[in-house]
Amino acid sequence: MRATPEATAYTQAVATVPEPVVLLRKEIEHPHPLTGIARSWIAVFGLILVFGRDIAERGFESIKEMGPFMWIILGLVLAVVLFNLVWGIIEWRTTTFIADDEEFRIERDFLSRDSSRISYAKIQSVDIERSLPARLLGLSSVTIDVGGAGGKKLEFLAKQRAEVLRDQLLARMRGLTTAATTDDDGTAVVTAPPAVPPHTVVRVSPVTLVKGVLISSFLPWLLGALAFLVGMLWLGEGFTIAGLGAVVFGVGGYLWAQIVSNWNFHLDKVPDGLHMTRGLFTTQSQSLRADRIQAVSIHQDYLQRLTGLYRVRVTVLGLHGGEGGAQTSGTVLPYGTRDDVTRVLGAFWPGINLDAIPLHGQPSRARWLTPLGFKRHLWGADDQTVVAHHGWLDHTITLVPHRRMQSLGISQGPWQRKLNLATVALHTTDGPVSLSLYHLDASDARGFFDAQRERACAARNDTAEPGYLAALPAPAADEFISRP
Amino acid sequence: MDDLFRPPAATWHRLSPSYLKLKYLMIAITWPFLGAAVVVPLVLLDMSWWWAPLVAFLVLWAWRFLRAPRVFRRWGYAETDDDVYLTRGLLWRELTCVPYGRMQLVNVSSGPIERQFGLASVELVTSSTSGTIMIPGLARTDAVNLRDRLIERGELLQAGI
Repeated sequence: MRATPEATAYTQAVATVPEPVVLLRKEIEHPHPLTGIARSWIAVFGLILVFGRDIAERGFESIKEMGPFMWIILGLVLAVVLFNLVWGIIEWRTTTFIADDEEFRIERDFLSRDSSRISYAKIQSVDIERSLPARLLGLSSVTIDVGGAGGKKLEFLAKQRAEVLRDQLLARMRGLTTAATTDDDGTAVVTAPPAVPPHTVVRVSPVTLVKGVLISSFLPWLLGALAFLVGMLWLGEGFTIAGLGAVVFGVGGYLWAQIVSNWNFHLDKVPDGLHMTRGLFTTQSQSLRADRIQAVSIHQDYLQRLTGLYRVRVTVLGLHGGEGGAQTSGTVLPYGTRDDVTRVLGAFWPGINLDAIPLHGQPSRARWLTPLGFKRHLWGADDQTVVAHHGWLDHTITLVPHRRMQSLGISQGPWQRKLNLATVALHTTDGPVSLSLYHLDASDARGFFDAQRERACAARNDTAEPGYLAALPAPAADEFISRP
Repeated sequence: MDDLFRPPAATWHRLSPSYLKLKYLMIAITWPFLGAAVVVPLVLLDMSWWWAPLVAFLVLWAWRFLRAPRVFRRWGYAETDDDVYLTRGLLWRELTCVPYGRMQLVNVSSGPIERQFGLASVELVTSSTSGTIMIPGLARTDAVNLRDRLIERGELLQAGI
């Protein structure tokens, strides 16, 4: 990894701290001894969820009805719990990991012998997940993502060890490590990354969250579901458990998932980049490196225009989708005001100013192809970023920095050719965000294509992270020295 | 060649003429299967109007033959100091520009039929699916040389993601 000037400044600042701390010797570690219990706990929780629903729906009568069947089920439950307990204990005894200056290695020696060594340079992100049962035992699991296939999961570690491990891995990955820096007299000094208190960039309050979930394109579904329920009760017909269940679990499930998974969402700035934390029962913590962010989209659906809330998503290398799947993957701000959006953007691209980028529209003959969204199709570029606005009902703003552009394309379909229009697409790494400039005048499109190629080329050749794309602003040196 | 899809340098490199022959062969082989799949069941079911799809198919088939050389002529690639350009398509036209520094790997592949015509395809893989391009129908030696040039340039200009 290239040492950015900031990183160098950082290490030098760190090196002046009087007491050098030696971290981590060659130390072989096991997961936490409670791993077995945690695994069986999780199985119990899962079973409670499955059977609890049944009992809640039909009352305890259903258990009596089952009769001898109940004992078979109970036996199976016990078997599952025991199996998980034994499996967890075996895993605890046979799994070892080493995280030191030279390597990060995870080994499993049960039935087959696996050894995976992960290069610090290849680590994209380290996530900590704490499910409710694990949290009750004070445990966390750590997922190490290496971008693409081959990620690793360590289950389970004590909460504190997991956090320390994450910070160490991230610190090494960033290169502002516990690595040796040479003193003036040539002796190697090993320094720990300074403990800078995290600074919260944005926090989503419960009010904003509920407002954001309810007043959105989800509202028609919610109203429809309520109307359906009322109708069923009113008419007294078609009232079935299955129908009720489908509606309640469909709509209620979405509502529940959105609120629970995004509860107490906050984005923090830490020395290694950014941390996102969210979740009511399962606290999810994801690390995010600003220099891994490839593209950003700011989205507002047609009902959110009433509340003025936006959702911000990013295409980023090595960010886990987490439990919410596609809904939460890449979401760095679930619901926030325009100010929140500005703060989030500023956290990874300090100094960016959306309003300062001049915007252009489509030629008026493009109305033939986009009669409704015509006025909202705007595009622009400054010396750092390309920006595109889209949408008639839903509004989307998409941003791609020149430095992150992969390749560039022009396409022209038969109707566009008749109207002398063309579409330009900026390709970034695969993710939720994509940027296209639709229906530009053909010569403008080619002009933009050639100019953008030049800009991206210049941005790539500039070895320093240019302007606001610097991952971290250089920390003030005295900030660390005055540290107690 | 229109102005929108003009080459970055003087001219586009074209594909090997053998590729057009390969295309003719593929149209000649594959389309009768498609036609038979529609017409034969109709004949077996004793439908009186089985000839209508047959005529439609023959027209379509002839049209594919007539169109093949025009589609072939739309293909073109060019190498500049920093990028590879590829243009293709007759009805839906495309132009893609991939910087050498963004290439993750370059594949040369050659299927059994391609080998009969002495052809190979070069595929440029980037970390973006939409930016991954394929140049088909190059003479084998040209393809290997192109790959070697691309990799050489790519190593020189490699940019971090």
